[in-house]
Amino acid sequence: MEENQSILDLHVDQTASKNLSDATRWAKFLSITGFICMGLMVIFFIAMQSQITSALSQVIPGFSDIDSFGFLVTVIIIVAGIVCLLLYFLFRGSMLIKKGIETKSQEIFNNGLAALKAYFIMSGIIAIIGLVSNLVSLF
Amino acid sequence: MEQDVENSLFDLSIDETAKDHLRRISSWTMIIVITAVIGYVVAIIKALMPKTQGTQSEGFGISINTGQNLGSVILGILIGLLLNYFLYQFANLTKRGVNGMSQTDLNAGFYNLKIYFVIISVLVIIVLAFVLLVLLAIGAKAAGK
Repeated sequence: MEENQSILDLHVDQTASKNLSDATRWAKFLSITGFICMGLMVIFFIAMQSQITSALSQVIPGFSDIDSFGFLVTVIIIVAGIVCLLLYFLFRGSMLIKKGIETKSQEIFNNGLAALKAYFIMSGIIAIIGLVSNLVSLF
Repeated sequence: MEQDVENSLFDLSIDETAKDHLRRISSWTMIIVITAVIGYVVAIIKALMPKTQGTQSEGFGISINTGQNLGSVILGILIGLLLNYFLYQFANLTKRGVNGMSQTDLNAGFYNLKIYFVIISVLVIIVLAFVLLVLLAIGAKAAGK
């Protein structure tokens, strides 16, 4: 009876596994590129400290002191941390889904889907926050 | 036929946990698509609004409105709409596949997810190549001085 149920149920067949493997390969590429870009951005901001401070002090009055730059770096590190967490979910999801398909492990595959779900939930929350701030700036 | 049945027995199955994850993923991707489309409408409204430079705002010194031109906004929206179309297709087909037990819809959903990631990756590669070119140009200019 259970065997019949399993035949009639949805499966990760050859087409699905090929599409998912390709998707996870690109997702892995995106997450690794994102990690590298985030790291480079933080290094760039710390290395170009004096140039950025002088450029911003011309635009924003009172931005010349070191505390203002410290605040800016803190904001950038927080943003980079959030983006890295998002990318971590994407990376984890792509790794686990691929591993689950290769080893035909249901548990690993489900864990991969859970990580991908976390990635899309976080993206959705960020998108909502972005939209709200966009709407607020409109009025 | 027998081979197919044997294959499906050894395939990974989309069990209840996986179905629940896929349903949630579909719901959230749909939220992302709707949010993005509303965002595009807001972006068009903003681009059509008269631009003000250096307006005084309360409590935070001067706020600078750089003002984007309509062309770049439309280009951004077109790329965004293309991306969100595949994300929408993924959400729609996956949900339909899981709820209606349709293997074809589920496979089509995964295919659209693949296309979505491929397009983002290609865009990222183009942007990185452009940034690299700009950096090389700046470096060459600095070396020439």
